[in-house]
Amino acid sequence: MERLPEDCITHILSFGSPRDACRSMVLASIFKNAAESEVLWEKFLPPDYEEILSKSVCPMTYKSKKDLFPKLSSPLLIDGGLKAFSIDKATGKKCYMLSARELYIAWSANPLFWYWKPVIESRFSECVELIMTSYLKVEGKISTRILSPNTMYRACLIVQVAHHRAYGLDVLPFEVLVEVGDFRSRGTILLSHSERSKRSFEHPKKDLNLTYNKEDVSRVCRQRNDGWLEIELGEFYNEGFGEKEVKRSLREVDGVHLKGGLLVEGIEITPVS
Amino acid sequence: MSTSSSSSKKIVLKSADNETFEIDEIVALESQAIKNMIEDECADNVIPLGNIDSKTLSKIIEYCKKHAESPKKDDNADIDEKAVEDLKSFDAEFAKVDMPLIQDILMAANFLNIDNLIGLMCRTIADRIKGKTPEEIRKILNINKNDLLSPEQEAKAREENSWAFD
Repeated sequence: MERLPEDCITHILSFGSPRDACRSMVLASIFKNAAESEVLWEKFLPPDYEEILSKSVCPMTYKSKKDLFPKLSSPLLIDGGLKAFSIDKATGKKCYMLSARELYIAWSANPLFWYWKPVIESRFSECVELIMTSYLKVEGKISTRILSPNTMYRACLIVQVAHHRAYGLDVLPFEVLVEVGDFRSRGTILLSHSERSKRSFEHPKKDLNLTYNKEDVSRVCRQRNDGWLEIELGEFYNEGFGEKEVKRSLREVDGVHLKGGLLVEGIEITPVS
Repeated sequence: MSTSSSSSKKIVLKSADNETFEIDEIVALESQAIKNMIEDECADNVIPLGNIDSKTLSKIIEYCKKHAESPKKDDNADIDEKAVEDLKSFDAEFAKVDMPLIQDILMAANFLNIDNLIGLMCRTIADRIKGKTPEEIRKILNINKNDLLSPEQEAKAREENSWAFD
């Protein structure tokens, strides 16, 4: 095997995952050299990584592209700290999180209804907590251009339910929606704040407007280890040609009752493995 | 569609074991290296390929023939879906050979600078080692013992890339 030139080995590694390329270093010295190639890691990094780094709040230093790759798998604050960017370690695909300040939240400018505050568990400087409203609507928009092509993505709203202050959130299900061009994926989710282990009930509505993704989309809440709760808004496929806007929203606007105690960190968009 | 008529120019390739192969020039042009030789007029009637044996060379010619006869993707014209599928299944069949021959073909394709074939062979190797343990991969690729890392080097590589070994 040592007869093969190093650039052929680099080429072979480029067909596998970034993690496998790294692990191949222990195979043989020629693999170690090939796996350190800048050309290889340039391929694994998103094509516009330099542009993204230029938007970073804190400048990032790195010795090589191979060194940069694992560094970028932890979130990097960009765009004045309003967004966080990271790459999926397994695939190198792009992940984004929009902070609450980057979202359209009905009435959030009114301090009687929503309260902006720093939250220690958040990577962003501010989160927003619902004090009271009957009209709850949270929406985020992102362009498909900045996402990785040919990738299935999932959008999640990242929240906490404030235990002593939560009320009215579990009366009616939330309606969640993801729209990309003509594609729409709708679902509902019921949040529970009456017990410690939050259970979710799933009521997917059949939507006749669905152009693809015909299977029933499941909507779930997941409690994360970092104290936040993920509310799944939906999934969509980014083909990668042309620029489309991805709209993701959560709303509960049918009820006339007041609700409060929902702390919103932002909307996360991650590739589905 | 490229045509290969009987009147087209012929090129003769000679393998390391002195076997000669007469092929249409259009087939030889799949190799960027031969193309450059022809353009620079360095190519005599016979091109000696001292590092490629006849078994490997005949496989390479089989590949180049098929690809020279197929409509090119970058022609940007209406690409016949069937032709694309046909080429794909040819490639899949072509790659069903043992690992030593794959490596020989890759070496030769690299020397002759045949981009598509390099890609096909690299992808084939990548597929065969995917999900295998280091020990299995060393066996599949017949990696020489002298090329292994020392235990210290290996420990260092694991430590520096701990994210990939978790």
